[in-house]
Amino acid sequence: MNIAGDKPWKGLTGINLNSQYAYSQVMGSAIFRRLEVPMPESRAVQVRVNSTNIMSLSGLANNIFVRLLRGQRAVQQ
Amino acid sequence: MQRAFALDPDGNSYRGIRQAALCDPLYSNNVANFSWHGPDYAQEIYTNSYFKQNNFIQNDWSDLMDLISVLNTTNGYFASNYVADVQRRLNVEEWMKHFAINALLDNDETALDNGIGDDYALYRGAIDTRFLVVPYDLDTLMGDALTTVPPLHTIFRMTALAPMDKFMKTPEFAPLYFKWLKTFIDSTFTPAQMNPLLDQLLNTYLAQGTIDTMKAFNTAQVSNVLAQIPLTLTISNALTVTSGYPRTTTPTVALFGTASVIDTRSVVVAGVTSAWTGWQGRWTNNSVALFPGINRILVQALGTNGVEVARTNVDVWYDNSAVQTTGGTISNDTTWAAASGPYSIASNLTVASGVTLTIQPGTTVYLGSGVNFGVANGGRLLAEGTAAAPIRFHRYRPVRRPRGAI
Repeated sequence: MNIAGDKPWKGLTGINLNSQYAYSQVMGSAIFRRLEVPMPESRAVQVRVNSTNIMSLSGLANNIFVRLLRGQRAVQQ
Repeated sequence: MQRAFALDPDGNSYRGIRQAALCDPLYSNNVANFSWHGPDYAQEIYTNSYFKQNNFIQNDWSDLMDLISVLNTTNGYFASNYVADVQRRLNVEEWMKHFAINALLDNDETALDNGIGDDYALYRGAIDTRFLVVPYDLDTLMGDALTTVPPLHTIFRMTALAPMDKFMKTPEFAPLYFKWLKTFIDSTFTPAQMNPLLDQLLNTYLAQGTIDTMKAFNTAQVSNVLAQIPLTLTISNALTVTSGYPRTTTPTVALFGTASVIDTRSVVVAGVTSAWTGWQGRWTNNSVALFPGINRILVQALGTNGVEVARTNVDVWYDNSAVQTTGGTISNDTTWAAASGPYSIASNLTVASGVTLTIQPGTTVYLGSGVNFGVANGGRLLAEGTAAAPIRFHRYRPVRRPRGAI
């Protein structure tokens, strides 16, 4: 999800939403950072569309996760 | 950049993507695989594979083009200076650390570590101008908690990309990869550390059974990776063992084996530097010279600065059927040469007073059953072997019989 470069949200101009095996993303991000390898932060979030948690539709988990980037491009994985 | 590189935030960042991942058929050949397509950056093959993440106004691609040039030893760079050029353009330690963690996590998301130029970032600081590789797409790790059995991938999947193949197999770089693998295997990825970490990270999101699946996967994957890291000095050969010794009837023997991929930089066999393939941890010497008789062959693994880090040996019997039989009294100065042996003392032998018997390094001396070998008062026996060519006193021929005394 791209955010206008001249109106960053909390300093961010892009957010990647990773909805497949999202727990792997959180776990991997934490391990890389624990081992002092720089990588973007990954955090658990819910994405709701019309109040519906869209992740729950997949049956994989109740959460999806956000990968935070500071660039202008963001692509869905 | 401010968060990840707080001390050096003003550098250039690129994001490497395989355009096929975007389902864009127009750019299906665009892959961020470090392939060289000429010095002009303004081509879709570059600009639709590597995406600038900052410093857009400057639009300076020279650092990326330089990195790709160096990795491909082109555009003014040469193989003869590859190691130094690479060390100046990228942080080798950090790249190896990156690959090691990915291997242990069994990252199956398309990325550099599994040989696909996709889903990674590069960062080159303004202060430390060596490129770093930055992971970001990590949603396919540890079998996704769907299985406890890892797929037994090789730890060199990144070598599917030609520039990474050269990089990972470079003798100066490969030991660093293994060093980080072993370091993490012995620390963060041990069950004692990883299991509570997984609990802490995931127990609010996943069922305990799912987390336990990941734990089991990690344990198995660590074993899989460890099995691919030669750590000990070994010797092998293709000879048939006869009377307890590998036996050959030719004056050379082919020996091969493994040595520690972390510590070893060269291998010396019987004093001769032998072929060493560092990224595989394998050494080979197809023509180790033998003297007639029993040869104790010393193999040494040498580390940086030529310091010995391990040694072992193997006894090989070169049986050319020739034996110099001797006995009685040696009354004149005599030399036994290794190449003229082996010498068989078939009856009691004495070196007479005032006489010197010199036995040269590498010589084999057989002592017959019950016979004695002595030196009279005033006589001399000079038997000075070397580490690479010891002198061997042995029972008569390599068979199990009692021998006499010296």
